[in-house]
Amino acid sequence: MKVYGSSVLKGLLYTLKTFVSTYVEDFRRKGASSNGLLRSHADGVVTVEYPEKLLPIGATYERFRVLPMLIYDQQESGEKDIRCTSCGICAKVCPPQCIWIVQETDENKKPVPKPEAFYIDTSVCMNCGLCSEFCPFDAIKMDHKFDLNTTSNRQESYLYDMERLLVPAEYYAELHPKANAAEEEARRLEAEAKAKKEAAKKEAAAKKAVEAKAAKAAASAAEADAPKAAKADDPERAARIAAAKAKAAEAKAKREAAKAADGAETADAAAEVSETSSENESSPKASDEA
Amino acid sequence: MEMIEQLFVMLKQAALALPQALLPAELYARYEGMLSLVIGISAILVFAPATMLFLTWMERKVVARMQKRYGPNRVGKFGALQPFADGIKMFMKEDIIPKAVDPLLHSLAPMVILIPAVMIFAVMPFGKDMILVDLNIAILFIMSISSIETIAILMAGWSSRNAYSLISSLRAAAQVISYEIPLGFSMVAVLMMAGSMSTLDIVLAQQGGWFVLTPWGFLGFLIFFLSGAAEVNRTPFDVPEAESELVAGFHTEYSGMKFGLFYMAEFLGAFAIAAFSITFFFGGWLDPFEPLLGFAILPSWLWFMLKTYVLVFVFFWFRGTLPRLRVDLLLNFAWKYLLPMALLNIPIAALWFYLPAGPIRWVAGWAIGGSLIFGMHQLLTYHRVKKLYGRYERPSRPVVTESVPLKS
Repeated sequence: MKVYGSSVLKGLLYTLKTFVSTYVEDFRRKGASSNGLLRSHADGVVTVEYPEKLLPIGATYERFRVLPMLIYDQQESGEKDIRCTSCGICAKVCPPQCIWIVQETDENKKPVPKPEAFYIDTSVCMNCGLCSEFCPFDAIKMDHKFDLNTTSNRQESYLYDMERLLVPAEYYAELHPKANAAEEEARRLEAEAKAKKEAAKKEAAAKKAVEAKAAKAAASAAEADAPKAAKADDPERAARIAAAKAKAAEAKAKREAAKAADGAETADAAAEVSETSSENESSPKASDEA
Repeated sequence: MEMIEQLFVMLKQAALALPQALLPAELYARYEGMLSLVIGISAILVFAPATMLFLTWMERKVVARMQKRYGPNRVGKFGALQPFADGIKMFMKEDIIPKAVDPLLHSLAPMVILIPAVMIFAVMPFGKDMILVDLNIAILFIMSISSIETIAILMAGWSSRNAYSLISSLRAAAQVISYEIPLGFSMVAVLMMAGSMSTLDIVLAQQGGWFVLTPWGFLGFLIFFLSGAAEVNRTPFDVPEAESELVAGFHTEYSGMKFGLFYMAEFLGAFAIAAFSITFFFGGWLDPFEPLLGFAILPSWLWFMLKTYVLVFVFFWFRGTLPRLRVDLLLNFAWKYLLPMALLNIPIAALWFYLPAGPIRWVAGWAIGGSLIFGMHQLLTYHRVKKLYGRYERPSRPVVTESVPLKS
């Protein structure tokens, strides 16, 4: 039987339950270090009294994002292997254009895929996260560090250099456990596929080598014209080659004929040839001078 | 216990001791009644704003908790000094009187709304021997005084020369006039059973058991409380204020302390409705455990406050739960639901009156009264239930599985 107004009572009960549960949860939090907990929406007051209580980094939601960070893998030798290859995709895709990258060069001034300098103007950055979305090397990711206020030298402290942007991969894994796992999985699969492909290639190469050897052995007995004939199976190309050959032969014949004639004539012809060629070469220069 | 019970009475006696010592006996005897009234009125005039301050803080805290927030917590411990900060702010703010308003009515309205809100405290039995005047027409007094607030709201809305304010005040007039009727009828059953209009007599009539435990008392309480909530414009009946529709309603054009007075009147009204619900249906200042234990656990005035604040909490609970009613639904609720229910309540009370006292009255009274109330409720809300749930129970259309040839 439907009783009108019963849903009003249901609603009232819900708010009363919320009212009581917030106090119960307050009492429960008193013992535990309430500072370290993300207040879930399921129970208790969700407010974090920010200046007095601070959520530790990583206690918020995984996809929470504040400012990009650069990731490096710690090598066993103690070296920092920065994932960034300074390809510049992040700088191109950045809507407010706040990323500035300088590519590293070796002693021969040849660029190497490493950033020499990496700046992010955090006063311009709008925390959109597009850089991390577009990075093909999982090198730039969004940080969780939200407590950024500073009292000294604001102008310069807004400009983050590589030193401030670099974080170890473990830090990223801690902040983004799900995303990191997915990326690791993707990387692993990619590496596997690559390895497979390489193995297949090697196998194919080996097979080819064997086949080629056999073919060579078989062909050694065959005539030398065979490859020519094989080449001529493209009629157009063959025709073109034939035409070129004919032309060359004609030119050669002409030249020989000219040689056979008197030297002055030859000199004339040569001068003519060189003149046209020099004219051709210097024509842009000449037009410039003109 | 007797000391604490009589604390305020003794305070009054102490205050009277000074004029008694100073004045000649004859003069004192003549003016004693007036002096004690003055003391009582001063006490109420101190009590009312203090209550209002506390209620603003409590409302914000309660509603905040229902929304999983902390509420005010910056000023003082638990934000307890917040109302004082607000009060200081109210006093410091510029009192703007817009050019277009009717200045006399505009300035008068906040006073006119506050005076009845405080006046109603005169017949409130705060505890044993703690009533300012034991009026023998207290119920009529409450009815008449509480409806003066409408005039103030109309004054405020009309004088503001603001369309929102005017709409708000017209809504308020419609609402208060509608809800006054069930409010009055719900009190009829009480005065039938108590045999008196005096609030003190009504409290004393409940020594055998609270009225709310009887079917007519239960229904009467619900009607009284809901109509009262509408009468003082509490959510979900705050159509005159309706901040999402009418900016702030009738007090849109007010600022500073005049605005504060409107707020004070509203909170005092809510407190008064809660207090009179207690008085009429929950045994007022009576200690519910005294007949069982033989001694009082808490002083009577504390019992009164405790019970009242439970009901005040219910007001805030409503505010934290229920959305505002649409105007037509609001008036429908008064005329098509509360009024018939209030009319039904009177014969139920009469039936209860004529049933022989004892367990048979409780069983038969509740059986007949309860079924009557439930039947009436279902009858009155049948069309709404049908409208609400009917469409979900409509048989679904037959599913066409075969292709139907197109008509040429």
